[in-house]
Amino acid sequence: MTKKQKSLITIISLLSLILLSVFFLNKAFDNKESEVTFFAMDTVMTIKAAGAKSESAVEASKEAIINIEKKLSVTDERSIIHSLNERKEASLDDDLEYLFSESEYVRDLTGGAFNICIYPIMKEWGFTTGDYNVPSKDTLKELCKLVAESKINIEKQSKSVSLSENAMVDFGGIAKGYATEIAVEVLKKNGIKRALINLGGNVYAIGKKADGTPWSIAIQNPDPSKGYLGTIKVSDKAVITSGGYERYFEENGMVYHHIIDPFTGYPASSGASSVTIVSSDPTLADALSTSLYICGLEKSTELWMENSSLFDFIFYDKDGNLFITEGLENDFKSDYKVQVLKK
Amino acid sequence: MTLNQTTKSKYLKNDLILLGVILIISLILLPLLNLNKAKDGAKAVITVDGKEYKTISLSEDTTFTVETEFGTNVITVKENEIYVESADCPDKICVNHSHICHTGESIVCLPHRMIITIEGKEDSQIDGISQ
Amino acid sequence: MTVFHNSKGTKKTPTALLAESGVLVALALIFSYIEHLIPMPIPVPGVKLGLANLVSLTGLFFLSPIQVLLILVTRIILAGFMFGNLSTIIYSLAGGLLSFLVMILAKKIKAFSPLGVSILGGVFHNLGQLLVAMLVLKSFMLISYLPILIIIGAISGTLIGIAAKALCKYINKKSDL
Repeated sequence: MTKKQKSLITIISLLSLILLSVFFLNKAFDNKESEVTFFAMDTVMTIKAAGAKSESAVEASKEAIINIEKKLSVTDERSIIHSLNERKEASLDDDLEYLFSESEYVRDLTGGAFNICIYPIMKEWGFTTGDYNVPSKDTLKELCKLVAESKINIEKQSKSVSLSENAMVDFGGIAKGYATEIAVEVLKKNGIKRALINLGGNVYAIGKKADGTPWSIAIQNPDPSKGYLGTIKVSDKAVITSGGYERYFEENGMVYHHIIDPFTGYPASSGASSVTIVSSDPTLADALSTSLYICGLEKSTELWMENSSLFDFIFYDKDGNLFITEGLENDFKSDYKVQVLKK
Repeated sequence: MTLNQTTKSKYLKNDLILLGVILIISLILLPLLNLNKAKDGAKAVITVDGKEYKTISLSEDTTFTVETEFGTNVITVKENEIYVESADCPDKICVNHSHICHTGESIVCLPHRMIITIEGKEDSQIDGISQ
Repeated sequence: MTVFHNSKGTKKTPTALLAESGVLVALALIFSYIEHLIPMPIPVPGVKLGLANLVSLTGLFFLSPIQVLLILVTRIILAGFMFGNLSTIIYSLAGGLLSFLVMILAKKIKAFSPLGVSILGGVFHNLGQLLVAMLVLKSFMLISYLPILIIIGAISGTLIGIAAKALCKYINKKSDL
């Protein structure tokens, strides 16, 4: 072999080596991680994403969530929902149309445990503003009647909505779930394949972790002095927990939490301490987590048996029993004794 | 490799010297390990309105005040745990929150836009907390 | 016909060269697999014993550096696809290339036996991986693993060096490679 050939081979191998390293370094750069933490919907939200465009992607999802909040806020006087509650009619955009139809679907699914017309009762308790007070029995009775009789009329043709007299709506029980759905959509549109969205404890995991394993999501113990209820391994799923511990106040030695039963007007007392929904549909998961808390274990299990393809749940009752549905059996780890609900 | 006796022993001597030098270097560098230990003791990151305000180790007991345009929180580190001792916020959720010490746990004071988050070892078992 | 020379001056046809490289890549892959089965007690990603380094090391004394380099890179990429992922490839490439470079230099200055060359290779293999880990994870704190990694590199380098020495003796006896 001549000297020329030798140096040619050396140059070629060096070049291919450089190309290779550039290729791999590029790939490594592709996994750039970005994170944004912000305040919206009365809670702290964190969006973490990995990918070449992660920085703009997390900012875009933050903007999208703030946009949704502006429409749905019951306290912001410029929001569509605020004007709907004031004037009993408003025009619909795609977001609202979807939310109204999804709310109706979950209301029917849960036999009325989920009801966006519960707003007048929440307002009376002060959960929307923080000026807590325990309403009188008569007031609640009247308000429950109002909630039960509230009607929402959707005109798909003219894209408008109207409410029956005195009715008021609040998407509080579904808004964070929907915000999650929007954030997931925006991230995916930006080519993100790995992300963790945490909207005030409502978690959604996109794809898998950097090492290729599913995300580990811990479930908060309602008793803060004790460790997590357990951890669940998920990928492309929402893990949303509801419990009375999230927001409550005390008056005359009684504790009143924020999950109100629309049939009684009082904080739900079905024996649940916390309910976690695991589902690929975050909007549904958010709505179901509060409504299954209201329904109690028996009704929740029935509901799951009929819709086990849509969601799984973790139910922690007041006596410390922990139940999970069949679909979570392999992915849920806990130090507690777990009872698996089977079909 | 055909080596005569002298080069062979010279090689062996050099090898041994090399091994010795490497061992001495690693012994000198050994204190670097403590860096890791210091990190193992978790630290708390305090942010206000999304911006980092202060990072503090949980291994030393202390009390300090976070005073911003949003309000004032008095924060205490005690026995490897951190908590909000008092605050002038309306809801006092941060004050009533239990003491935290595990990686990923956080205390939030919404009215004051303040978050305390525990950061610890890189390989935390948990990626998020559903609550 | 183009004929390659190896470090001992014997001639090989491209076909022989290809066959030889293929066999050696396969051998190195087996070492990678064994290594993959042994868990390392340190939580730094990609840090390993460097068993496959035995092939590169012995190769340095009998083959042309370019052939060794090609075997090394091929092995790392194939092993990455088979037992690892993209990040293992990046870590291994960093470790492998740095250790290769240092070993060539160590051999060139003619001060060490294969044992010494191997020790240097082992140490710099781990150094390369640590550097990339620090870059990828953007964590300077990983530097705290440096002393342990140097010691582990020296130990594995010694073990592999002893093996390589024995191997060199054997190949010299046969000396038809």
